[in-house]
Amino acid sequence: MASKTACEEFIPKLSAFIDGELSPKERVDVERHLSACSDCVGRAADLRAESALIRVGMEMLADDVDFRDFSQRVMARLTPERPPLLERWKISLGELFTYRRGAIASFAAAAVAAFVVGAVSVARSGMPEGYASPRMAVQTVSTDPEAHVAPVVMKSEGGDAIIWLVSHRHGLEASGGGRTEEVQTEELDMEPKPAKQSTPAPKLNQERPRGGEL
Amino acid sequence: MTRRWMGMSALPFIALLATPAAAAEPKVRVTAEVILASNKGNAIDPPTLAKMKDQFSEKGFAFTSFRRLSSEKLSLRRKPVEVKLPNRRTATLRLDDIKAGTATVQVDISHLASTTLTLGREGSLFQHAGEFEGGQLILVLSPDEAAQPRRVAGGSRPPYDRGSAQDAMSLTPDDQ
Amino acid sequence: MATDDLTLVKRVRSGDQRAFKLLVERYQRKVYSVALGMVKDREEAMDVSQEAFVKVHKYLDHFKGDSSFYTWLYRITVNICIDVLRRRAAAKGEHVELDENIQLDSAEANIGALGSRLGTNPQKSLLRKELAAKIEEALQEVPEKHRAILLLRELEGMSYEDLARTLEIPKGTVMSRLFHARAKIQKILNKYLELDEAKSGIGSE
Repeated sequence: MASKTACEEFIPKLSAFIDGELSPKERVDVERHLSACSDCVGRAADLRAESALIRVGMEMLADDVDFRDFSQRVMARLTPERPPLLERWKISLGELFTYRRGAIASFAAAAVAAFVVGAVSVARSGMPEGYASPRMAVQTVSTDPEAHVAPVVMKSEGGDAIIWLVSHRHGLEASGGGRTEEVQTEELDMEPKPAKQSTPAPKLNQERPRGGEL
Repeated sequence: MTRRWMGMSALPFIALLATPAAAAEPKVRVTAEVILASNKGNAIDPPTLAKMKDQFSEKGFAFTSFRRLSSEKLSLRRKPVEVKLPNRRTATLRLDDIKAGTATVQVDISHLASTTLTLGREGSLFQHAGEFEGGQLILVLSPDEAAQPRRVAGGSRPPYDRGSAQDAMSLTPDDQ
Repeated sequence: MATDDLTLVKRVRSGDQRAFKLLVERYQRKVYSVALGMVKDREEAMDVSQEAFVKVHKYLDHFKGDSSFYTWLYRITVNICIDVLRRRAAAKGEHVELDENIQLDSAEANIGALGSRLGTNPQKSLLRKELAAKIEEALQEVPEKHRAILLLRELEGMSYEDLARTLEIPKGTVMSRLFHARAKIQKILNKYLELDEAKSGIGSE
């Protein structure tokens, strides 16, 4: 029964023992006990088996999972607003040109009434001229086709808007599919890459993460 | 550039009509700054640009340095005003119209992009204007100081328990 | 030629998104496995593990680099899992914490049975799949904190020191918690084993 008391002392240490986390002195003590106690040898074996079983078992369950899109899905979740905005602006770019031309003509037509109204309301509110609206709002963005860039409009809570110009390689396109690398560029990159053709490569970041290899 | 001026032929008439009614031609005051954002060093110059850095990093940009290259107060009118950019581009700004007290402004960055926006008392436009010396140029258009809200009570929280009217609205209610 | 975590973190901070992708790919399986062990549901585990990386990215500026990246990553993962579990339990109106104290004697019923049955180096064979499923169930029967420490220890091979940092507990607690966690799992496994043996009539060979 002396051994039983000894076991009680050593049993809690077996867990750390199989993990190799005992101090050298403690380890030696445990080893000495194990050399004299087959029960504890059995317990240690059980612990090792259990430990390995958890590892192998959980790994097996993870084996069934396809991780190929995992990182892409994570990246997509990093900036949820961006892809839709980019797509939206790409699609509407063609329309923007026509819209804008039409808009100017209608501005001119409506200008008369607006002038009077505008002048009156400004005089009334005491607001500096032109600032009747509480918040700034971006109306349209269009890009020069020669520049091969697409605008990305980002809005913040304070009413600010960032209009960033992202380069295309092949001009304006309505959909994002098909050119994996381009799509990845827009989805993955937090800051857009500078225009690839014209200007000599200016550096946005310290690193130029092209090609994927790091 | 030319096609944008095509619809403008009607304007001289309007100016004639408007002159007796309105005091002067419409104009709107804005502040235009040219900022260089880059990853060269950590300079935030002037320190007030720290807010801009936060805004950009929130959107995923990781620029470490923000330098103001120029700042001007402009009065935008129908006749375009040019702001020369250090990367040999030009920012052309003009007032499209003021409708019901709200100014519509157009910002063109030469050979790059064109943005139309309606001005408001709050909210700045950060218009990307191309690259320069390893960084990115940003034209920042902000409301004229006189337009920015002093946050007079009239919104959701009366200022009775705060120091000044300005504080009343500028803090987010309750917890942050 | 693997780039170490901290270098990749620095690159992400300077705007290199591909460095982040590499970090994700490096840890995705392990993070998923830990999450799966914690929440059991595969879809939930997938969502949790992605969320962990999203959070890591969001708070990258707050990561000081004084601890290792992976303890920080796992801390976030475990916390998200615990959150999920608590919400799940709250939705069901359940008590989350299970019985802490275990009668050590009852775990003694089959000393050496587990070891001899499985050997200390089980292979991933068909026979084991059934046991793997049992392990998942067994994990669900222990309190979250025991689940977490076991998973991190077994799946990541985390040292006690790293475990202490990840779970924000003292090193002494790591040792006793692992011990108790293992004892519980063993009790549960023995129960399964006995059942199996009873059914198939196989001895403890």
